[in-house]
Amino acid sequence: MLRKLYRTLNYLRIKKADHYTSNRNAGPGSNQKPKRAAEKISSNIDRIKGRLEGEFQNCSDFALREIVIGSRSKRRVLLAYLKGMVNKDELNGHIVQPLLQEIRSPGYADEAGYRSVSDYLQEHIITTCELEQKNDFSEITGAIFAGDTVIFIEGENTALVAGTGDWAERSIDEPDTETVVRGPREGFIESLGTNVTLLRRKIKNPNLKFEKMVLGKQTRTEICICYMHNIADPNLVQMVRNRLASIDTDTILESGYLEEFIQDDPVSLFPKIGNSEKPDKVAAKLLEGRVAILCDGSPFVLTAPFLFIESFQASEDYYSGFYSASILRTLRFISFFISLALPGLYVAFITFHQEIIPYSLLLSLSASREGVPISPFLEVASMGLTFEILREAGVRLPRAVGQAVSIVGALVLGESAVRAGFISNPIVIITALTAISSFVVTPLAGILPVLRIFLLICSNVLGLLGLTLGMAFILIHLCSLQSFTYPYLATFAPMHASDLQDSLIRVPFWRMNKRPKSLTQDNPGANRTRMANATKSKNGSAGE
Amino acid sequence: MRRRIPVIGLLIFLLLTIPGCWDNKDITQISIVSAMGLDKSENDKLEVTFRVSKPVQGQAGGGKGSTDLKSSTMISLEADTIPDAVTEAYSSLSRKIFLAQIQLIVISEELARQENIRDLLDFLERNRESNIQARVLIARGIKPKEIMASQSELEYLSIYHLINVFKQSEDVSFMRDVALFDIFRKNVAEGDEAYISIVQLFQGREGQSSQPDSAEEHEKQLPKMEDLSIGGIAVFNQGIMVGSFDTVQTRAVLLVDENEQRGMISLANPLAPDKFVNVKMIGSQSTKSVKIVNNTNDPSEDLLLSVKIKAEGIINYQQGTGDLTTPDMIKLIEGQIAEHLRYEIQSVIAITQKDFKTDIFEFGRIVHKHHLNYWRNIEDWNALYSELPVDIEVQFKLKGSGYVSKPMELR
Repeated sequence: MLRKLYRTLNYLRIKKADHYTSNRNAGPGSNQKPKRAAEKISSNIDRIKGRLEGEFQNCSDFALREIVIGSRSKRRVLLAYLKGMVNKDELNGHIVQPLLQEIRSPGYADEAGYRSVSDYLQEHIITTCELEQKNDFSEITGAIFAGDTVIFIEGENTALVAGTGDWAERSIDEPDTETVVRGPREGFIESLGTNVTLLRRKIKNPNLKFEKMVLGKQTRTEICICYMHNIADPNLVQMVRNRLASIDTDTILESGYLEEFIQDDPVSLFPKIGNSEKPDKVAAKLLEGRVAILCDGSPFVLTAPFLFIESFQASEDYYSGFYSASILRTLRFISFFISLALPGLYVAFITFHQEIIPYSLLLSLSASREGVPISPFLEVASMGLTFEILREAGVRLPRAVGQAVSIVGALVLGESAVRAGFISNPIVIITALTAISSFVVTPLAGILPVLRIFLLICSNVLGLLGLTLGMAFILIHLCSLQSFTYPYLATFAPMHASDLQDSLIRVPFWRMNKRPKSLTQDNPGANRTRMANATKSKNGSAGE
Repeated sequence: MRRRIPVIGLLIFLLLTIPGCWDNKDITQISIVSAMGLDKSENDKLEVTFRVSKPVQGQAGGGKGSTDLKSSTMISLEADTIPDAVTEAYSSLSRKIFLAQIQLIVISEELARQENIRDLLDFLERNRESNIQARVLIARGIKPKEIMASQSELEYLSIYHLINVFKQSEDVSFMRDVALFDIFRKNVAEGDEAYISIVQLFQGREGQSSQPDSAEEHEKQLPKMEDLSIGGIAVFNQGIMVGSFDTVQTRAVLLVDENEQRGMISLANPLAPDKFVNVKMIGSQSTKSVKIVNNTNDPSEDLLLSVKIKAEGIINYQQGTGDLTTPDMIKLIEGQIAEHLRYEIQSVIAITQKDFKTDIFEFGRIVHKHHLNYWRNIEDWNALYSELPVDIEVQFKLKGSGYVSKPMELR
């Protein structure tokens, strides 16, 4: 039996190691799917027209516009675009009008000695700034969907793709999920292009790379891998590329889809890929050597690898002073512990360890328990459940009804349940404190109820011993987790002494000379120096 | 493997839930014993009295501080031993006796003089469910049962009344805060005897003697916690009470036995003999040692018990005029107080040697620790102790005049 277990474990270990080495060694380009053979663009306009009409059959937003240019040669030109996705002013003013005016002018492409009409149009006539020539018909459809206008020219195998895309977007405003008192208020929106711009505006450096790819067979969602070329570990970037490229699905509607596909240990409870709505936060993570994944249609940008400690870091920690930031950090850890263990602790104390409650507290606790028909475990569990229901209702309800829900929830349920003697008074306090604390550590708020119930059951079975066992179980699980081969509990396990400066506390920036070691690991070639004179400051001269 | 995990999980679940032999007990299923009284019953048995707290909603009903009997109840049982009494309580109490929150243990003087205190409390030392921080008192002139029934006018939780009185012991050195733990710690070896504070009825107030006519009357006649006073200590020899010290003697005992004692010392004003000067002691330090004076290898010849005490204080109160803050006066007062204290200490040690024949100052422990070769030859330490010479040295230092500012008319 043991031998079998050992063999299984060994197998898993080897398999895992194998998996990562193969991931890391994969060279650039090996991620590319076998490309379809390039399809030539027909020089016959009618054929193209027929083909496009066939492809976009019953697509009422698809438009074709035929223009004839040149008074002598009378070349036909075909414009293809999607109605809602192009800026009509730009299409009119920069493409249609110049092309039509070209009829009247005497000089023509053929006569002027240009290699082709498309070169001539590109260099002299069409005034849009984004314009490129394409030879592969398979790229055309994608361009049309991206809001580009495709210009086919009779007699030539080249099409011109003009970037005219423009559609209604939500304006950039403050994200609801991550509000700050101090710090930039702009947030990502649903448009990939705008999001890329927002990031670019934060990091004005050519080392900031954006690699585009299209995922989802039906949705053809544009994905963008973003990283700092000189900071991020190339192996990490390659791994992200590989994992994204191997996604085989037809729907990508939100970055959450990607997260589930590419995260390590997919059944584990803990989030192993971070997300943020704030450009400043994502920029900071990029500058620490992380990779961001932007997904068209979602304001939530993924960052990988995601370490446990990141759940406790807020962008404001870095904008307000380091004293208050350190206090808030510690507070977050305490709240996390309260939210995790308080119900379990209460049940353990009150049903197993009455001797460690101070005498006067014990008396008042026992007085409030008097006459309550259900056991403390059921009390805590049912109130916890009630709170989760209220919270969920609060999120889903139309805003106008929200107040009614909060009144019913807070007053009717809390106060009346105690008055009616269904539950005891301390439970209300415990539930309220637990619930409020759980919102302090937002990235983990979603999984806290599960852990809480788990610890609650542990404590009800074995008291503090059970609680300790449950905690140990969670901790061991956390230690075993990885995010893109980076240990999930890094900074603490494995312990990186230099990274502790940004963990439970945050030291001032002038003390943080180096990028986190948890992200560079033991890579000797890693670019870890944050400050130009970091080496100097070691020798005594203070960093500036 | 995948199919086995749910099965194993189910087995663990069943194992934990079906047998039901776990320690999960709700606080509504226990009777929280807040205090315990031990007395000799009329039938020469042990009378154990439990004061059981009744859970009542605090502050809900007016909360005028009228701590009534309703917040606790009392059960008195006659048995041979404490565990017998606990077992017996099962037959009359609806909830299981829970001893882990005992705050106070009161032993009657009568019982303490007859039974070994270690034997009495052994159950609490062994029991997993016991509070070794429980305070221990000896009741003199009042039955522990009556103390168990008495209520405090001042405190919301009556049981805290006596404990809080105890806690003031560091301000006035006439009682000692003795917890169960201290008793377990002491008495482990010869030459290390315990002493416990005494609780008695306040002087001038009489315990009730007449039988109450009605329940209401009975309630009125029960002693209040305010009628009790703690002061003085009972001295034990081998676990059996042999005598007691009054409050003044207790201060002398504590000066020798412990550091940082406080208290008041009154003496005649050197400038006006019929008036008083009161000095407040603000700290003390005691050094006990056993010296070898001869070299005869006979412990009774060689050993000299030595006590050195350094204490300091300020003038707290002065009757009559005159400047007591001159160097001469200060020296005079210091000398008087030192002599006064030395006399008190000497008489107390003499009592322990001659009357009680018990070493409450842990001199035996010092001999054991530093002069093991002597210790091995000693057969009966307490007998030897009562004959050994004692060297007492007291230094008192007047640290200040006690003035906030000098008075207008310098007295």
